[in-house]
Amino acid sequence: MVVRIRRAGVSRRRVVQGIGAAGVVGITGFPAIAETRPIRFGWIAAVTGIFATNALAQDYGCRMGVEDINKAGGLLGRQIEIFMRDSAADPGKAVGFAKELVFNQDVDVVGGPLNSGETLPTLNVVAGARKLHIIEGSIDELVDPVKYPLMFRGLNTNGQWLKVGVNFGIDQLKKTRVAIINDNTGYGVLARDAVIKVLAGRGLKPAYTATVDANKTDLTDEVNKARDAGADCIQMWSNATGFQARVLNARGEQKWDVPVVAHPTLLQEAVANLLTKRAYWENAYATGYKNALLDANDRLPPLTQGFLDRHKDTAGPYLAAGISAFLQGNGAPLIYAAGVNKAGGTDAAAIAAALETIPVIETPFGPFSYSPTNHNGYQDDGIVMMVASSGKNNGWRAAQVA
Amino acid sequence: MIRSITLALGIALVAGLPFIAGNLYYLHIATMIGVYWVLIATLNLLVGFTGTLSVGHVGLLAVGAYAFCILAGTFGWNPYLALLAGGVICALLGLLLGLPSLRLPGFYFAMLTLAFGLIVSELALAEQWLTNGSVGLQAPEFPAPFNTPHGLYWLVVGIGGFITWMTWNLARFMWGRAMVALRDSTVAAQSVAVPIYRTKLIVFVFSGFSAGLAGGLYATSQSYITPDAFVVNVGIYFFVAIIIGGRGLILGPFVGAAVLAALPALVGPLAKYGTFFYGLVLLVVVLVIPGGFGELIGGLAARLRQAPHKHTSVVPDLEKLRHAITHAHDYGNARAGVALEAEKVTRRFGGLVAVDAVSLELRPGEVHGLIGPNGSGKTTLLNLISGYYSVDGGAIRLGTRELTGTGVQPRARLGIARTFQTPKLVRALSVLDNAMLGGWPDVRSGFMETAFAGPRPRREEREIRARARAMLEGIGLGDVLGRRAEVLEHTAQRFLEIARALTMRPDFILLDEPAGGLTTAEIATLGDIIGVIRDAGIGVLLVEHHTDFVFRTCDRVTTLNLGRIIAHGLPKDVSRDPEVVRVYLGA
Amino acid sequence: MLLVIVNGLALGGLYGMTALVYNVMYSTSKVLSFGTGQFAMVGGIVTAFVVLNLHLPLLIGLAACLVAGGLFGWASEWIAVRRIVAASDEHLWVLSTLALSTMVQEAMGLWWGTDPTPFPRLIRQEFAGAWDQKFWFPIVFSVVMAVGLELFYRRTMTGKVFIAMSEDSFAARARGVATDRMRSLSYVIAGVLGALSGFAAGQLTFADFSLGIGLGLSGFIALALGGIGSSLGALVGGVMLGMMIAFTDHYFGAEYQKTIAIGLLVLLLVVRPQGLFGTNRVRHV
Repeated sequence: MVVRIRRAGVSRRRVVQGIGAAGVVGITGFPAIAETRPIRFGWIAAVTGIFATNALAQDYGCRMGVEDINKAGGLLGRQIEIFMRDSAADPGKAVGFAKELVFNQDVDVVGGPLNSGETLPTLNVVAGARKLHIIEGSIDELVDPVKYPLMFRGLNTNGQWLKVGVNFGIDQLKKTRVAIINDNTGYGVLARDAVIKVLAGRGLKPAYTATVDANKTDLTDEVNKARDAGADCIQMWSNATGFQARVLNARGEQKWDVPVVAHPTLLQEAVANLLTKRAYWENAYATGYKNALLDANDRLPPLTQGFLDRHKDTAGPYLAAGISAFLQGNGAPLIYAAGVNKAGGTDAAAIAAALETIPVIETPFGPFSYSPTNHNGYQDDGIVMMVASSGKNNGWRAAQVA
Repeated sequence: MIRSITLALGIALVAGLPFIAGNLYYLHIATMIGVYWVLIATLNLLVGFTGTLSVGHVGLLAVGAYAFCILAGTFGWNPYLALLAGGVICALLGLLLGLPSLRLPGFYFAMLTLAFGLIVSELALAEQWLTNGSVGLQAPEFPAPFNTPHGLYWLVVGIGGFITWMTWNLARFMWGRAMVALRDSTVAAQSVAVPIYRTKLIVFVFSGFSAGLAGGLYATSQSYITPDAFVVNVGIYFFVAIIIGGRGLILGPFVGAAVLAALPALVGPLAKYGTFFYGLVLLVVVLVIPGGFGELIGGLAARLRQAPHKHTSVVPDLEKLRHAITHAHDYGNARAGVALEAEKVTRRFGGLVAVDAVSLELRPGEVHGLIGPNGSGKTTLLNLISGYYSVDGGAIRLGTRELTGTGVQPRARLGIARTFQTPKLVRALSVLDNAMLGGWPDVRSGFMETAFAGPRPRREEREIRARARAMLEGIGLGDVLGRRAEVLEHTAQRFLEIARALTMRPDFILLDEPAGGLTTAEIATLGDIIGVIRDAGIGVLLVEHHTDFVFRTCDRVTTLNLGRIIAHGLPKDVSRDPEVVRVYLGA
Repeated sequence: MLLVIVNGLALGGLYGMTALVYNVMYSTSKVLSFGTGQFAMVGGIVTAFVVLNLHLPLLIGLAACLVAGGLFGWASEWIAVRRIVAASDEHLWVLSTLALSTMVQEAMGLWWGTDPTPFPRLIRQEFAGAWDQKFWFPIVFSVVMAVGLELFYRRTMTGKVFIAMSEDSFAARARGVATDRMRSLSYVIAGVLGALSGFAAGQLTFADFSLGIGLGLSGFIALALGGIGSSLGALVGGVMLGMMIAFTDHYFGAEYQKTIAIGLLVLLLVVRPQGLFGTNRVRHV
């Protein structure tokens, strides 16, 4: 069975169900108010601070996801109310807000925080309060169904990105002498080690590895060293636009035309704006999502386009980070909605059990499929390689090598 | 009585908070305030008391947190042992950072600590084998009963309370006065033998230790740590807490810490303005009320309590003063009975020879005048004798003891006291506290002994207080003991400086233009006081422009011109010396 | 290898210019401002804003950059230094300049955004490897700035007054120097020079709101290496630090970049705290 969350699909049946549920509770003597009050959706999003650009888009995606559900009559007849907290990319604040949401606001579910560094310290807090937790951090270590049975990932894992990216380089581009250039932030170092591991799985060793200060002003030296080491392809795993631009600038200035495979940040127009020449954006590929792929007529898939059409009046400013971030935030409420609908209530354990049995949850962001032993959910085939400079109509073309 | 009731109520309130907090979120905030307080309480000693700015204390917090997680988590140590070890590691780091930098101007130290704060997260990212990189580490819990939110709260409060008690002890005994003196007047602190560098270093090491403890507690109350948690901006928050609450007060920063920890929860949507706002608050407070609200309220209260200040002349009780000086000396060692000598000392500033091979002997129980035109080298000579300047040639001796290479503090310890042209008082301290500073050379209690309020610091406190009080009553400041030194009138400030010098039980006292700004009547009083000091067997070096006063008061007089001695001898001879008359006294 | 050296020289030029800016303010006020690195940040962002967002000519961008720097310099003296220097409380000026620097940085972050954005090319030039303008502008500007400052100190009355004030501010006042006005002027000059350094090195640093703190620290290390008060020292210190960073980056990667720079600072404080070209100054009572 495929549970499709679409505006038309949600409407009448759900409302009827909702009324029915309220009626049953009323008869059995529970205070009816408990089941008609809005569902409280806690949402920790660092819309200020260093991850602001992406987070604003994710936050918008989440709000619109909730708006869609509410407009269609809510979940089981109940509206969803978002309790949004801005953690400003500070793990300490994230913990504080997580506690505030679960203890003070008594939310039904916590979504976020939006990056791994903040997510890690909140896991125990939400788990300790026995709340459902839909996390938006990508690093692989977060998910543990035994330790955190109520926690599900509403995002792909970092490992999925890397695997697709590295395999693309080897299988499609046929490049095996890989140079890894990453920044020295937590994410950069983590990604570097993961790429090395994936390469090792394919029996390869990187030809060159450089971990560079994220603010280093000139990367010509690293690029030259990579060339001297005989590399024929660059794996660039940094989520900083400035850093990516500097690698591309250096590659272009040195007239060294090897392909670059990178983190989805590379798709953003912000990277192109930092390039000395726009041409330096060519021959660069980034991991992206199936649902942001353009077809032959430059159209997005219907699920994505539908979402954009519904919100075209307000979405504009949030598209700067690319549509992916936008849709990521949208995933959390939709996954939650699927669980609630199947479970028929807001009990966290029941929803967790429901999520583990739904075969596939289709969201504009991509397909999710959980099981009792796997709470990662996001399916590998949701991730595709895209041509960095092919952005058009909020989507990108697939990277296809002849 | 009222104080102990307040204290008991306060303790009951803090201990009972979990029962009235309502929910675990408020308890979490209270716990975090407690954790930050463990760090801020001692950072306040460093910043608020000694005026030394550690910008990167958050780096120490991080090291403490990582040490706790690594030792108790990865290596499976006992959590209490790991917590203590974190403190010790941070104390050692404090020593390492402080040793090279605390001797230099404060900005060097500020920059070095800032740099330290910056590299800690860099290292935490780089050393993955130890810190797990950006993934971070799970923080272990303490064993029961401290493994619940309530238990952890009480543990934090217990440690915080203990630290507070230690800082309170440090502040109320002699070490507290020494620290404030460092901040407000390094020169005054030196003159009473407070070791500047060593004191700052000890305080920094101590605050490093408690920052390490705070780090461990921070980790366990957050349950998880990553390098992202320790950004340098947090340091601004610590400063704001300290400076708002009031430097130099033990509990002042608590108010600041509590308000600021609760603030983000109250103004959630404004979080992005947070750091800007902290900067603004810090700037405004530093500019408008550098003493913070604590000092502001304290000052207002004091003003309300005291009758409006009337102009009163300082009337010494010479008999009492005589008794106080003799009694103070009986308590200490017998006088050395030797002379303080400068032999052919020379001092150059660039090309200018300020003092040129000048010899001078100051005997016990005599008043030696030093006169000369402006720029003749009088104050320079005084600075050479007291050790503020080093000599370029010649020697300074006390009897047979060579002082030439030593600094100010060792000479002060040997009984050489001095006053300054513009009185160097510790503005924020009371009159009595200022005079008590003179008792510092007699303090034998160590820093930790004082922190634990052992019997020796208590005894020394009593003795020095009695001595300083007797000096102040003798010199005529007995009815303003509790007033802050900065509100005293000029004359009273001069006399207070003399009282502080006398509290040092000196063998020699060097007075730099003590009659400056005094009325004729007050100069006469000063003469009487100097007489009493001489009669007690103390040698007095008197640098002055009031020549009548000098010739009247002194047993011998030396006249300098252009850095050289032009006349030397009995007042009546010097005052008639033609050269002296020509260059200085005038026809 | 040439590229590594040129990159080191360029970084060194930027650090050296920052050290020179420290010196200008220090001469009249004995204050080492925490906000020193922020001048370059403001200069860079203002130029990028005027040239790339408002599409005005580069010269207007430069003018705006210098005016903004001068204003910021003037304001720092007026707000964070004047009153505090009068109270002669060292730790208070560290606090006040730190507070102002934090405020400016955060305000720029809120207005400009937290992502580094590009900086305009200053002259038409294809990228030219080691001979690219992005390296040579900071190198040339730093030398010009140091020479200019030395001429200013030696040849002009105002410059001589700065020197006099640095040696004895009280004596200068006693001889009728309007020390408040001179101090204010020196901060305006410092602001202008700082903004100019941000302009010259903009292509290396990008227009980045978070540039100031790190640059202030690097500039201070350069200053401490060379010795406070010495223009030659500032340049030499800057180049030493820049070279060291460039070479450690080349051979060991960037993971320990800050750690190494700070290790250098600690070593210096132990071995020669007055710096290479500094002299021990007497502390007056």
